[in-house]
Amino acid sequence: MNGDQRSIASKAAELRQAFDRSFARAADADRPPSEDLLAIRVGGDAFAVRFAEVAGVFVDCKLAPLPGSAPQLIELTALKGRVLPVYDLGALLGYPAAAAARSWLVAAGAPVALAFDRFDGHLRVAREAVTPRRSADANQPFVDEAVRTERLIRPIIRVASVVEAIESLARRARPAE
Amino acid sequence: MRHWTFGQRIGAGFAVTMALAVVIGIVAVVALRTVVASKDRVIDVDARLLILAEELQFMRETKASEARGFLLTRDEAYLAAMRNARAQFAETVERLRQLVATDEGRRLVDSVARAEEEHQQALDQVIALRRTDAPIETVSRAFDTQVGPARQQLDRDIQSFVSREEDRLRQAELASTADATASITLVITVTVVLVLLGSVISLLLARVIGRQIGTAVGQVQSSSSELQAAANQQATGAREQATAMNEISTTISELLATSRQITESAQRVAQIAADAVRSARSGEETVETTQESIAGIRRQVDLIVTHMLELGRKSQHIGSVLDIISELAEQTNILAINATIEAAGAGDAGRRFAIVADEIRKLADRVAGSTKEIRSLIDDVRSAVNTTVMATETGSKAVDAGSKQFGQVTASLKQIAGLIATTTEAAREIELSTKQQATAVEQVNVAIANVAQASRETEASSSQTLQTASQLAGLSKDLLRLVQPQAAA
Repeated sequence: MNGDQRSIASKAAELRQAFDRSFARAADADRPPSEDLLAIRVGGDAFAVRFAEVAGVFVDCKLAPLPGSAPQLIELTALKGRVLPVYDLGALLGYPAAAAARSWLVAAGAPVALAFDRFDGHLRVAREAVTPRRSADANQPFVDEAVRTERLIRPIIRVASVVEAIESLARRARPAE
Repeated sequence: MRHWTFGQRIGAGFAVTMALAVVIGIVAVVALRTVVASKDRVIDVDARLLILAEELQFMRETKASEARGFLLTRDEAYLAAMRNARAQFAETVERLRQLVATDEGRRLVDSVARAEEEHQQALDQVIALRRTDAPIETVSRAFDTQVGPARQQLDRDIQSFVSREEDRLRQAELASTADATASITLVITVTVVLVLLGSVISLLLARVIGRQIGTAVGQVQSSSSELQAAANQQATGAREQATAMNEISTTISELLATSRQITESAQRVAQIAADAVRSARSGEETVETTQESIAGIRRQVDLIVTHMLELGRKSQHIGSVLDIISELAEQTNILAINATIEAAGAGDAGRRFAIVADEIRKLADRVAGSTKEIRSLIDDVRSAVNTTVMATETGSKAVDAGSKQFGQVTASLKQIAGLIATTTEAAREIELSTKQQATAVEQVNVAIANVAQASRETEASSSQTLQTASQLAGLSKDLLRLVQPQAAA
């Protein structure tokens, strides 16, 4: 048995133990205060979104193209019996229009879905890892906090402000109708 | 006769001389025969008559002695001896009659015969008296009176005959001597005449031959001078030729040594070429073996490529499965996240569900991480497979190129072997030609040595010819001086 096989075996054992520990550990065990975030990619940059602002995450769902609309509104989707407009988060953040965003999320409390490039995963960080940004960046108008991970710093997109911006766009487009 | 040669002239002179000698010899033989005949007649007739006369005297005495013996002893044996002596006496008388040629001689012989008859008669009477008983004195007186006179008469007749024959013998000797003297005189006369004649002939012949020999000697002297000059030139030329032959012989020897060196070099080249042919054939076999090995390697490489491509396809399948697993993990993760979101929305009631969802999310994350690792490994495997396939394809191309190059090497080795075989053949031909050349050069060397030897001999011969010509010139002068003293002076 060589080194790789030993490493794989030890890793399988570790996963097995961790899985078993999850059942053995008490449900209300004391844990330090933490923040749950979604790690995403927009225009090639890393961002994060708070769990609390998200009603759901979806990948590779069927979308219906919506021509002739605003440049940020790209498609429509049907989710749990509702038709939701899908907005390009990159376009809202000021990035050039992406070719095809295959991941998107549903904003909590608003019937809007935001499409982004890639879903990196779930982040559970200590609350101390989330720090406010010292000065507002004109290029990132929906970001006022950032989370520090082991490898990089991800700006945290405030979904509520994005929804507000969409609503503002919708209000500006409605008189024209 | 003017156009006769020396030999003919000398032969003619000798022939005349011999003819004169024959004439002298014939005259001498005739003279000798005359002398011999005269002497033979003296010896055979006169001397024999004298001897027979002497024998008559001896036989008369023998007969008388035998008769006295009987008279003294009366022994019949004396009578037989007396009769025998008388028979011999009669036989001698008969032989005298045959030899005597003159009447005087025959008369004397008859007289002797009659006297002997009378003597015998007287003796027979006395013998008869003795046979009687007469006294010895009577017999003795009868013997003295009767036999004595008869005996004296017989002795006188015999003595007369002897005296006559002695006279005739002396006369015959004188006649024979005169004949011999005449013969000697004749021989001397003829000899003198013939010697004079021969001298005249010799003088004439000597004058003619001397004159011609003088002319010839003059020509010989001139020719010998020319021969001397020619011999000088020939000796000089022969000396130069001998020197040139020596130089040529030295050059030929060097050429022979060079030919032998070329032969040895050609032998070495042939040997090396033969070794090279063997090496080339061995190399050819090795290349063929290597080519077969390369073909085997090529088949193994093709098999490896096939396996590698199969491994790549399997890896691709594993990747596809991993895509499914990864997608499932991602979807699980999404579901867990959504569950967590829903649990958070449920407040305290959803906390326990949120924990389960979190564990599911973690498990999905780990599965995603593992799938990433597997994908990385698969990618490594595929990369390795691709690299291996490329390497094997490169190796296969290299093997193909190597195989082609080995084919070219094989062809080149065959060509090299053929060229080396041609080289070997050429080297052997060179060796053979050089050997023949060396043999020819040796023969030329031997011939040149012979020519050099002949040149030296020619030089020596020329020197000898020169010496001989000089001697011939001297001899010509001497001969001319001998033949024509006035001309030589």
